Parts: sequence; C-alpha cells; structure tokens
Amino acid sequence: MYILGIESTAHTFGVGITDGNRILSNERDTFMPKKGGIVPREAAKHHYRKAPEIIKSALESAGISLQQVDMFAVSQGPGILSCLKAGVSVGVFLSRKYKKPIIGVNHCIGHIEIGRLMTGFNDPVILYVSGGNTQIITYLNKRYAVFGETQDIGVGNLLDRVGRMLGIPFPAGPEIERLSNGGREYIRFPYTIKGMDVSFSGIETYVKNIIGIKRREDVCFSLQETVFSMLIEASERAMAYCGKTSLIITGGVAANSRLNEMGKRMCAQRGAEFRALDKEYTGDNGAMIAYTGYLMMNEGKTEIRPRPRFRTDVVEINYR
Amino acid sequence: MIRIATGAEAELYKEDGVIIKDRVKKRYRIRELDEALRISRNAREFAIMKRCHESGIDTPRPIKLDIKGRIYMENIAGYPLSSKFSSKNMGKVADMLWRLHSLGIVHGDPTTANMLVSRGRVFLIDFGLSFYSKRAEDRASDLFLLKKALASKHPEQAKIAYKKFISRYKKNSGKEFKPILSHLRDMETRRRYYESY
Ligand SMILES: Nc1ncnc2c1ncn2[C@@H]1O[C@H](COP(=O)(O)OP(=O)(O)OP(=O)(O)O)[C@@H](O)[C@H]1O
Ligand SMILES: [Mg+2]
Repeated sequence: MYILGIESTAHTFGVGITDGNRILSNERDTFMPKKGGIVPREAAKHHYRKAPEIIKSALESAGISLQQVDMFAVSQGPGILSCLKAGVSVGVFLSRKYKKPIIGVNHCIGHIEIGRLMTGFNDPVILYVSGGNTQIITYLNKRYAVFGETQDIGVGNLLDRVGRMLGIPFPAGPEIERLSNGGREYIRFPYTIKGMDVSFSGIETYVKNIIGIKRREDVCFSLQETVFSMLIEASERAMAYCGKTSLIITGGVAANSRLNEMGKRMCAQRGAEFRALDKEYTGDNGAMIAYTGYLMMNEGKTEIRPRPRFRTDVVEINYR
Repeated sequence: MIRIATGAEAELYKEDGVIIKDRVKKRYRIRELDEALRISRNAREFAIMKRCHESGIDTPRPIKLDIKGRIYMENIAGYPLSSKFSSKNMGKVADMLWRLHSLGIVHGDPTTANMLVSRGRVFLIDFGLSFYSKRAEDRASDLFLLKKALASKHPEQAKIAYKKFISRYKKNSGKEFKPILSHLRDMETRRRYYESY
C-alpha cells in the first residue's frame, strides 16, 4: 500500500511517500523570507502555491499516480496555524477527491518515528531540536513522554536571534556553524540546566552585552559549545534516569555537525549507541508524516484539524 | 573499590563501606567548560550536603572532598525511590523539601532517582545543581521539576503522589506557599505547546 504524507507546520512544505517499509520519495520546498524571521501568512501562501508541483514530483520519484495512493497523512501540529491550515486543507481535499482515508499526525512524533526507522534504534532517547521545539523525549507506558525541554525559547530561535545580533540572515544556524570553526577563545556564557530542562534566555541577554566587543567567531564558537553541551548533558541525564542506551538527535538543528559529534562522544563514553541522521530526515519533511501515518493506521480516527499547540505526550501510542 | 552506579555525570564507588562520587571528565565538552562545571559542582555539592546534614536533613554524611574533587560520603543502604516507587513516601519527600527550602537551599534536580529509601526514611542525594536561594521562583522550580519527574517516570501514580506531596508541602510552608504556587502556575502555563483547547 502507498501512503502520501504532507508536512507544513512552519516554513517547509514537504511531501513524502512510503509503502510502510521504505521511503519511496521525499520532496520539499522551504520558504525563505527576504528579511527577518518567518512571516506566517507569506509562508502559508508559499505552501499553497508550491503544493501542486511538490506533490507531483513526489509521485514521480515514487513512480506512482495519485489514484494509487491508499491513504493520506497530514501533520496537524504543533506549528503555525496558517501554515498548518495549508497542509491540512490540501490533504483533506485530496482525500475527498480520491475517496481515500486521511489520518492526522503529530509533527514531533513524525520526527521520532523517522529517526527510529533510519537508525534502527528501538527504544532511544530523542533529542528533538528545531526552531520552536527543544525537547528530550522517550517512550514510556504507551506515550512519548517529554522528560526535558526548554523553559523559555527553542534552541533554533536562540541561534536565529543571536544571528540577527551578528547581522547573519535567517536561518542563522549554518553560518554560525561556519563562523564557529574560526573560534579561538571560549567565552563563558551562562550555563543553565534545571534537572533535565534547559533555559536559554540568560544566554541571549549575555550575548547582547558582548556584541561588538568579542570576535564574531568567538561568540559563535562559545554559543555552540555552551548550548550544545547543555542539550547533551540534559539528554544524558534523561538516558541515566530512564535507563535508555541509545540516542537520536533530530529536528532542524540536528543538521549541525558539532552537535552530532557531541552526541556521539557522550554515547561512546557511556557505552550507548548513537547514529547521526541524514540531513534529509532531520529537518521537516513529508516522509516522516507518511511513515508515521502508516504506523498509526489502526489507531482510532480523530477529527482532522490544525492543532498549533499539539503536545507530544497527549498521543496514545498503540502500535509499539 | 567497586563501582556501584553510573549516574548522569558521576561514577559511584564503594570502598570500606564509604561511597565515593567521582564526576568524570566529559569528552563531549571542551576542557575549559568541563573543568569549570565539575569543579564548581563538586565544591557546591559537598558544601550543601554538609550544611543539610548538620541541619538534620536526611542526607548521607559527607566525609571529605579530596584534591581530585571526589566526594566521600556515608553509604545509605537502601534503594532509589524511582526503582520501587510508592506514593506512600511523598509525605516524607514534602517534609524534606520544605526543610531544605527553609534553610535557603534549592535542590535543582529533585527526581525520584535522587531520593534513597532506607529504613523507612527518605534520603536526599545529588546536590550538584543545588544553590542558595530563598526566592519563591526558585522554590517553585523544584516543585515544577518534581511534578514533571513524577508525571514522566511514574505516570499511573503521578496524580496521587503529587497531590499527597503538595498538600503536605503547603501545610509545611504556611504563609510562604502562596507566592510559590503562583510561580508554579506561571511555569506551567509558560510551558511550550500547552494544549489550550
Ligand atoms: N550515599 C549513597 N549511598 C548509597 N548509594 C548512593 C549514595 N549516593 C549515590 N548512590 C547511588 O548512586 C546513584 C547515582 O548517584 P548521584 O545521583 O549522586 O549521581 P549522578 O546522578 O551521576 O549525579 P548527577 O545527577 O550530579 O550527575 C544514586 O541513584 C544511588 O543509587
Ligand atoms: Mg542523580
């Protein structure tokens, strides 16, 4: 059977197709704002505009037609309402037109499931780091329970805000990573960890005060070292607390190679397993929605609507 | 010397009935940061454990901090509350946490893995993230972390356990409870992606 998944929670519109065993295609287009951060209405417009061609190319690379799709899956949230509406309405339209069932998927669980598929790890701790999300998750009693999270802003947002202070265009992650390679001096930023939670607001304030005084390279280097050490420490605490022996890092920020290196070193030291995910599947993508839709096929039917604040731990997991 | 546990940060050994806690070098962190964190946490943990023990809070008796930063302490023969959880202990946890807070100390990592049950008592351990504060906000943070640790690790018993805990903590803290509660509510609503409908 074929499942077509649609992702549109933020600035990426993605479509993926799976047969349940393999990912057959994974196409996407990311809205790049001319200036500043993401503008919800503009991003949504982008998604509606791009939807037909991305669906078409996903079908082509999978070598199937729309008539052959057996089920549609859409990302319901969490995310930006206007962006979510785009993906959900496209999915609902296709499901009605082709008279095939549709299923709603939690975006965070999508990241988790594609990570499990790609690494083969059965019961990992998941460090999920993107623009708006920073969570440390693991499976427990039919839920993906959130053990740790940010108490203020998401790590991607922090990188983008610091990027803006340094005059780096959105999204700032890649340029911060590049600059950090030229770092020579480690500046001690506030390091705030509370149990398995982290907090970044102190870092943002601190950076404001040293902009123009310290070298950009050193700011980026120190920012990465501090923030990623906090995230890896919190992940290790969750692994110790839950007795889990593997780690997956996913979400947009998982594209950073220093973060992956830290994850790998932490796991090596504690005798746990780590495998870095391919960038194709760390960022927002349609394949993860299609695959999670496949897994959730037999769960009770729920109303298909955007859920901007859809929490990871409210979904009951019966397929594991 | 035999290894008895590997925690998140530390390796724990037992020698002649004494527990040795060694915060090991973390190879994922750069040296400057790693050393700074380990040195300050070792010193803090030892000092705060000493203060607690002297004030009669159930915690292992700290013996010494050696030049390598290892902490020597009394062995508590028992088990972590996380391994055999029972909400029966929550009254004791509440008494202990309020005593700590009224001493002006915030624990910083109050999970059930950091509470050892022994001879009908609950011993608090692991003060690496502890600090001195009497602010309602910091006290609320301990309650928030405990509540989350219960909900994520012991989901079936979490509601009852937390209820037991909070009603006792409320009684203990008297007038000081109100500002703590309001900060706690704040943290809960600030929590991202709280499903609001
Ligand atoms: N005094 C003690 N007596 C008996 N067992 C102990 C004692 N101290 C620690 N333990 C055991 O060792 C485990 C880990 O100890 P601890 O929580 O101090 O280290 P940790 O979790 O690595 O510390 P951190 O959270 O700072 O990384 C405890 O859960 C407990 O089982
Ligand atoms: Mg501990």
